[in-house]
Amino acid sequence: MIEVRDFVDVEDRSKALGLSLLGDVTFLPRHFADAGDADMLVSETDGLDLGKLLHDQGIDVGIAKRDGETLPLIVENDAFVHLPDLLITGLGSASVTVILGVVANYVYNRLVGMFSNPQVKFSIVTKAPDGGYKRISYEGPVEGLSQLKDAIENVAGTE
Amino acid sequence: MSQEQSSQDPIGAVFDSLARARRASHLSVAASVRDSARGDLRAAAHTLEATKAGLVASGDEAGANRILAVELAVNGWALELDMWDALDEKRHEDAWNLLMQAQQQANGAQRVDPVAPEYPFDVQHRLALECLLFPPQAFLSSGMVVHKASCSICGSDYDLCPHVKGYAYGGDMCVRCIEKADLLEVSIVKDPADKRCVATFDGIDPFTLLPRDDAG
Repeated sequence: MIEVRDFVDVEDRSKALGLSLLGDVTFLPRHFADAGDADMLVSETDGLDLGKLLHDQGIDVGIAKRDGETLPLIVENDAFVHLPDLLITGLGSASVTVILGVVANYVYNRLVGMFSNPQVKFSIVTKAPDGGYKRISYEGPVEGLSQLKDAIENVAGTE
Repeated sequence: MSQEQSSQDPIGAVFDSLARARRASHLSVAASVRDSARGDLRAAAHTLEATKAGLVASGDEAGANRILAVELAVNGWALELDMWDALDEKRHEDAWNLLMQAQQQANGAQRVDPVAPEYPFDVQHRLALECLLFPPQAFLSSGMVVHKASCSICGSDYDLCPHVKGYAYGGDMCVRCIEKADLLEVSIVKDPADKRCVATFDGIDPFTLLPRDDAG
């Protein structure tokens, strides 16, 4: 299932939280949109691993930093994959395809043997032509994750 | 790797050992037969270790990773044989923990060598054993903030090195070794990362469903 919702203004929110978000592709910290203060922000451990795998495919993912320091890394010992929201502000559709493929492989690899039909929740935040930000979310079987590409292109007006 | 490889070659002999372990891995089988199968698996593990070392030395990383998958399968069957012994001896908690470790080995083998046909069977077989042999369980899962972790492959800071936990490199599985962390919370969950973290309620043994003192 794909859902598109309005998202907070990423630049304003980053300033308010004292965060620097560098690069065309950045994992947003947990609670980015709703944290009462910056102390609530944490990085997802799966974002760290995905960043390494995306780097291997030639896509460098920026890391959110606060006062020059990386955010605390949270680890949850359950059987699920906790994917951070991915902010994409300037990439071609070929790179989006690569990103979605890497994410799908990663999730499958993590969950194979644990669940007969691995499921994934993943959201991409991108800027619409009117300047507003949208959060495009997919929830469902790993195989369907590639559906996000069309939704991203619809929102970004890059079809 | 194929089970049809000739038993003339060392890897073929390993698969013969796996076949014998599968045959011996049942509650009704005599403990001495299970012991014999376990001995075969130990010999197989030595063969695999030597084979993997040769592949690593020759720079064949993919080959070394396939051998790692077979090693995980061998470990998994040895653990499953141990589980039947534990059940025979009414060591139910030990039996559960051995089965969960055996499941992890099978999952690892499938992850490392996803095209080999044997490992999905091992995974499904052990999930079925879990449902058949034990009552449904609730589990504990912790959330923590990690301040320092190192990589088992290169020993460097895990945040900075290129390796990813759960992936195979040169015949070894990458593990993130957490060295400093703050516990945030402990939750009761249905699907934990480690099913050995079984929750116990009201002093009831979660395997026999008897009060702990009477559980035997």
